[in-house]
Amino acid sequence: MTKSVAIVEDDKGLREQLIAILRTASDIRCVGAFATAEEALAKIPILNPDVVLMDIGLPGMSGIQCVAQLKRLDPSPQIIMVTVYEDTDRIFKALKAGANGYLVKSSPPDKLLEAVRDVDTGGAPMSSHIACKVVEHFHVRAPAYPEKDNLTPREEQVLTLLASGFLYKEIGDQLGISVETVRSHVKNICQKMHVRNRVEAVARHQTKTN
Amino acid sequence: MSAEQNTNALTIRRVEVGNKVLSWHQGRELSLGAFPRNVVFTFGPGPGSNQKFMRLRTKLEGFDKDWRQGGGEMYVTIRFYNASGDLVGEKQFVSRGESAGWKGTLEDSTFTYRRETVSAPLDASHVWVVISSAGGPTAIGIYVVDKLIVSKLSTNNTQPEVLLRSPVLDEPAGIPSLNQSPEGWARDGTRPSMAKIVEVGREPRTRALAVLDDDALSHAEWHTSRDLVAPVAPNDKLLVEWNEMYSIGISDYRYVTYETLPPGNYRLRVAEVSVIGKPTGLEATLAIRVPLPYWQSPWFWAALAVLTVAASALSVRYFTWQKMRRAMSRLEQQRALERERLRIAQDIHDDLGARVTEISLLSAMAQNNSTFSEQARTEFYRICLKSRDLVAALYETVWAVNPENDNLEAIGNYLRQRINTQCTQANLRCRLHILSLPPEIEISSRVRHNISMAAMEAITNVIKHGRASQVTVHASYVESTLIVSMHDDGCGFDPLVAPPGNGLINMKRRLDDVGGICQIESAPGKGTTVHFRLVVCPSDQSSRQHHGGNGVAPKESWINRL
Repeated sequence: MTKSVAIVEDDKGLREQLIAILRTASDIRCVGAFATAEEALAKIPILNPDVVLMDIGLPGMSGIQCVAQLKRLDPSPQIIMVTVYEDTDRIFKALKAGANGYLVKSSPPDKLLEAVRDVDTGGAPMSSHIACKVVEHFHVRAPAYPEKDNLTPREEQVLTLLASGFLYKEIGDQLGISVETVRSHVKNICQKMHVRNRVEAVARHQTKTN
Repeated sequence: MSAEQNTNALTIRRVEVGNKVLSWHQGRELSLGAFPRNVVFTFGPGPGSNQKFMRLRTKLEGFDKDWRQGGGEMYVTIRFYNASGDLVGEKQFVSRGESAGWKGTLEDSTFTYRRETVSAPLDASHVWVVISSAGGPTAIGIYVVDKLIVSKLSTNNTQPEVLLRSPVLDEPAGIPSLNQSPEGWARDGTRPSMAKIVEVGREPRTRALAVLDDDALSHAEWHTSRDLVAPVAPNDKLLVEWNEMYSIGISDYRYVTYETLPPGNYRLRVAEVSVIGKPTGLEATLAIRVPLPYWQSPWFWAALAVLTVAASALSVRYFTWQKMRRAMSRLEQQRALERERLRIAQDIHDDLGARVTEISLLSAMAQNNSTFSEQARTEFYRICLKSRDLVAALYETVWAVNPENDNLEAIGNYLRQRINTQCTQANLRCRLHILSLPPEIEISSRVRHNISMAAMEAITNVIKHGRASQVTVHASYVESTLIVSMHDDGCGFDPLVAPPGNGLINMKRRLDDVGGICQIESAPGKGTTVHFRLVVCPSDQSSRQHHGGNGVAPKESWINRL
């Protein structure tokens, strides 16, 4: 099954490198590459790719805002944030905005391809420092959030282990589950973050209009 | 009614200060102004009053001790004559105003003893005594003299020789009638009848010579007659003693002058008295005030003090404000500069990061290219790794210069992220027990940089030399102290035997630099534990705190335990 991928990256050289890497995989097809968030917003919903590789730091509208807009227009594409630096805050914000995973740009090419292939089953691995922020995020149990949007005990376990520096494989061993199950937990966690973020946004909007 | 008439009869008519006439309201205090000069009060009969006053006296209460009588004089005079009967010299002993014992009536008043000396001039052959009211024609009043003795002072200290005495007037030895003149004494002057013999005191009353002058234009006198010639020789020293009582004024006393008056409150009294100085009850008064000059008044100094204090307070405030404003603007400039520097740094690093990332991707692609030789692919792999390291290093710098990261939470995140990445790359298991560090505790970028660099140094040491399978990192903030410890399960070393390598020295130096402590515990086969401790006060967040006195005391104990 071939995956269609769109790239949003303002640096021409990097954009071309990403395209080149994607070309090396026979099961991945690059359907579009855009230099700005605005352009991406206009074209991506039409192209309807399976995966979007989104640069975090874009000129004009940021990658984070672009993710939020895209998810609102069409939630189906899986979005992987690509970033030069592993900046905790920005990655966390992107995940809240609806990104499904993230990747450091200088990662080895096969890691990039792997992330594209696996994003719908769990996305790129979440590292300890992001997991830590996510834990904090879920510790705020406001009544505004429906019960189903809180973490399950298992998800909580996975997240805590992630924050303590455990790898997916180690977590699987510890909890007696497969790496795939760990991934799906992480995916759900990201999903719930995104939902929470939307609830927050609505709440903010309401307080403003009130 | 009578009071009304009295008020009109005698009034203070005019007040002048330095030739300037002041006006005032009746019954109200009159201010003369500060430093009055040549103050002249004029008084007399009120407007429309025909009253004539024989004698007036004044007193400025608060300034004058005694009543002022206007300046009339009466005398006891010693006259010297030569053998031919010519006057060759005289000495007047003047009396003015009222004698100490004068009480207004002859009955109630008492005599005052007086003693004078005089030298006989050349040619003097005999001496006269004159009791006279001739001190100016307007002089009026009464002058009573009793027990007058003129005696010659001897040079050899024997009893003085009496030359002349006032007459014995009291009966039975004295004269029978008051109108008679005693032997050796004569009445004289422009109106001799004013020279009298008066009776003084009560039970017994005694008689005395007096001049009762109630005429504004003439005078009278008693003097010794030729029958009572007292011989003297030139240069004889004569002692003149007598008892006197008097009350002397003038008939035309209508103004009183004060050259100057000190600040204060006064009351001018103008009173009518009889010829012999007894008050008639008719009096006029005026309240007078001489104000303090403004620089002597308490309110002036109070106001000045208040003003001075206020002015200095204001100026201090103003200067403080100015200084603060300058400091603020300097700070603002500094901050703007910092922001700009940060922006430039971030731009450069973003751009640089993108380029180096591109190199890493390119080299990674080349490494995967099967058409290249094995050696070339190995080289590309190395380029790829190096460029990835470079990206990490660039991120480190960007992170270090961003002031948003100047807090403990950021350092926690950073350690978590960097240690995790490093360990993952080195296939080293890592366990992070980094409790969420408080974001509100600020630390300077210098401290932050040193701590993170030292921590990464410790991890690098584990990876390079530790031969460990797992590293456990603890970080917490307890009792104002940031504690970071890293434990590995590797080979360890003997700190006493193995000279610490550069890595260990660097760690210690970095902690030392910011006032922290670095402790290393290790033993062969037991792994290694590195502790960092640093006092970070929540109150004072300046960087000075961190490498100042803080943590000095624990430092000692920590060093001892090393």
